Amino acid sequence: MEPQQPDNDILLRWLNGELSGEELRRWESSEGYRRWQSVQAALERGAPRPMDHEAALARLLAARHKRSRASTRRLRLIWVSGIAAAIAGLALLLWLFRPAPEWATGLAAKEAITLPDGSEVILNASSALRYKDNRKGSGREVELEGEAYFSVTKGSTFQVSTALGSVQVLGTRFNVFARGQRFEVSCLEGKVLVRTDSRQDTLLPGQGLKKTEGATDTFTTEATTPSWTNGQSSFQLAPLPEVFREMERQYGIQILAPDLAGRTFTGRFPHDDLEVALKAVCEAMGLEYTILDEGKVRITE
Amino acid sequence: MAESHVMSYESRIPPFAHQRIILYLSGSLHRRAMMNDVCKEDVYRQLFLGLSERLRNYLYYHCGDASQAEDLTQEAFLRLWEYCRKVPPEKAKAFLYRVGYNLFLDGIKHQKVVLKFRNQPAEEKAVESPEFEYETREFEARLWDTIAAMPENSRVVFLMNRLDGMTYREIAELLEISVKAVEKRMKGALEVVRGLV
Repeated sequence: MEPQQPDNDILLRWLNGELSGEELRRWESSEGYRRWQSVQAALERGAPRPMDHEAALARLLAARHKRSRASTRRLRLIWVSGIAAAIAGLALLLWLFRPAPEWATGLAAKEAITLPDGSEVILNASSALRYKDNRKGSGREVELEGEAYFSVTKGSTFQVSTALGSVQVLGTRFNVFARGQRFEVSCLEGKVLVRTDSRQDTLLPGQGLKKTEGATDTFTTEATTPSWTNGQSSFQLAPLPEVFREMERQYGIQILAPDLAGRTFTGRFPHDDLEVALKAVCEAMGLEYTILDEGKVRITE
Repeated sequence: MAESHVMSYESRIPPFAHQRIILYLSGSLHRRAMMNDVCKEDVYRQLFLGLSERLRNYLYYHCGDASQAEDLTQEAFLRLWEYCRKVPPEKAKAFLYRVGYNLFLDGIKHQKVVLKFRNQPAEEKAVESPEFEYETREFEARLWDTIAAMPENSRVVFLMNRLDGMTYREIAELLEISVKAVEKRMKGALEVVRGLV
């Protein structure tokens, strides 16, 4: 029996080159084999064109080169934008944590400051003023070391903090002195609230509060502005060492004095003439002075 | 104090651990050296020269478009370069076929496959007789129409076997399927072609 069509198994094995000698001979002599030969011929005429390997490789390498350039460009873009973002972030951080504005005066110097809210401050010699927290919108809270005269515009509470106590006001003019252990506030207009560790006082115009090492006392003043803002320092029963220390700050000098503790001075000295200032204090107190070189003054009994 | 520390350290490490660690490290170094092979320019070029034509044919049997098949082949090799560190040379073949086929599938979503199997010019042969010539042409046309219409998987396997002369085992390895599956697809193709013979 010679089947027109070989069975699938023979065909399948033939196509895979698995037929044994006998099977192959029988299959190759059949009619089906001739038909399949013509199928194979027809298939081969429709086969894909042979490949030009060299040309295809050249195309591939060109495409690869182009792509790697594109990817390095992309990488560079990522780098550049990353750095830009980092710089922007850093700038934002610096802006957020920017230092509060700060003013400071040296010896023999005064400075007039207008704060952003319109308040005016005159900073006496060797003093410093800074905002407590710059990020708070109101910006009406300052820290003071030394002495300053404030003329505060009306508005929300304005607070002056010092190491020795704080002063709270709504709009007024007042002077604050905070050096060493000495804290002194005098109200010239309006009303101020003074807080120290031990007490809380409301001062009206012409009233002052003085805190020294031991005691806290109130006093009165007739001045409409602190005298130091007008070029002189005035004192009422002030300890003599304090007076000379103020003179040191106003003239940038060093005063060599014997122990003067316990003596007080009432009076004033100007800021523009050292001879006059020394004479004013020494004559009243019965002291002698000698102006030495290198900005030194010796006080003797 | 120092002695007891050393003791506890020793006791934590099982015997021969050092040798094992050294073996592990040298093994991974060796693997790394192997892995980088495809990244070597000459290895990559040899892979292209050796594999690109059959890969292109394989993709052509899928899509029926010669120029698309060439593009897909090139793209597959570009991907191989991209992943050359991760593909060891012996896995490169299967990687290329898998990637090429996936790229072809991605292309399908954008446009319906148009099979153009008969755009190859038939070789001019000595004309035996006009009738015979006509019959041959007509048979060829019917055959290729049949092939274009048969299930894709069967067509691809059938043509890989018939035109690239690949055994079922070779096909199975490239497509990462079993020999049985290749035979099943072949049978499917033979069923269809038998109708013509």
